[in-house]
Amino acid sequence: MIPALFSIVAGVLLLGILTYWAFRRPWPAPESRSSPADTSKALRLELPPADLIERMLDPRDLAFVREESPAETVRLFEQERRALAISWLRHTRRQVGCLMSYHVGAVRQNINLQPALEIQLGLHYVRFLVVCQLILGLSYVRGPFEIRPIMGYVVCVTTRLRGVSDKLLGAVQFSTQASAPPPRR
Amino acid sequence: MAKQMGIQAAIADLKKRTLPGLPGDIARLVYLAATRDYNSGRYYHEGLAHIYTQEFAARALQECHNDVFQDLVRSSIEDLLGQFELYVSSGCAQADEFIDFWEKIEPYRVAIPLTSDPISAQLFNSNVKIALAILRHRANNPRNSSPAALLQR
Repeated sequence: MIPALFSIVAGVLLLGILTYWAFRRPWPAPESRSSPADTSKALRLELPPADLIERMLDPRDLAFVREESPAETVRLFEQERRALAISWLRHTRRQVGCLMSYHVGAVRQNINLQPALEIQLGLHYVRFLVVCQLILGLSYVRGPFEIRPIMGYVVCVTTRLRGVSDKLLGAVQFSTQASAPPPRR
Repeated sequence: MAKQMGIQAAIADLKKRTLPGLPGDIARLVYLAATRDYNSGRYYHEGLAHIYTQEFAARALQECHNDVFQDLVRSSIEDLLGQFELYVSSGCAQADEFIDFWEKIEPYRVAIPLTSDPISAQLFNSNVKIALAILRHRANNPRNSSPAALLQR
């Protein structure tokens, strides 16, 4: 009796999902998502300057503050640096998130997809998110100055991510322009 | 093209005649920020506007303000502290008064250029806060380091 009931519930659920999938709204047309203004905005991401992270986590500053000031100032300094590093990381993650949202919108209905590049982009993005979470955790456990080498890695992954996305977006725009009807005379 | 040349000439004028007369980058930052109107954020400098135009003068002041700010953001805590000691020793105020006022009112927040990115602004504010804490510590412990003598004047 119970297995039969289970099968019926599972069947109804499956039917519900299929019905929802069949009648849901279609994705918006790519034209409405990727206007030239959006494109330029997406390509001009305001990533924080990479050299600032080197500056803000410079161990020489820590050594100087330790030498010159009491323990409470050193504590304040470490708190400030942790807050700064987290700010930098969140800002970068937000900007990369915007880039990925734009990218997904732009390529969703593009038939000339480049699977290899898309997979590469996806992997970079997953790696980026994992490292961001790792750094956030480490900054609390080990302190802000211990995360410095991994921050450099984030800068590197962000640059690669942006490079791959620019390449893909360039291809999408090119294919959109190529498939567009010629202007009327 | 002529516009760009006009702005460059105004910048060169500022860098050659006005800014070198000020004691250090903190003094330059305060001076340049003070040429900016609190309400509109526009820069004004009568002398410079008289020689060039109001537009060129404003752009030159803005560029120089950005440059000085970026130099300060990228300097180490030790260098920033040196700049503060230079500024205080130039007689702008008594050391204690200066530290009290800057810690309570935080006028350095108003000295940040409008075009700076939020992370640079945050780093600058943080560095100034730490530099002021070290300055106070030095002022309270004169034997701690030799530059404190400056603050005791």
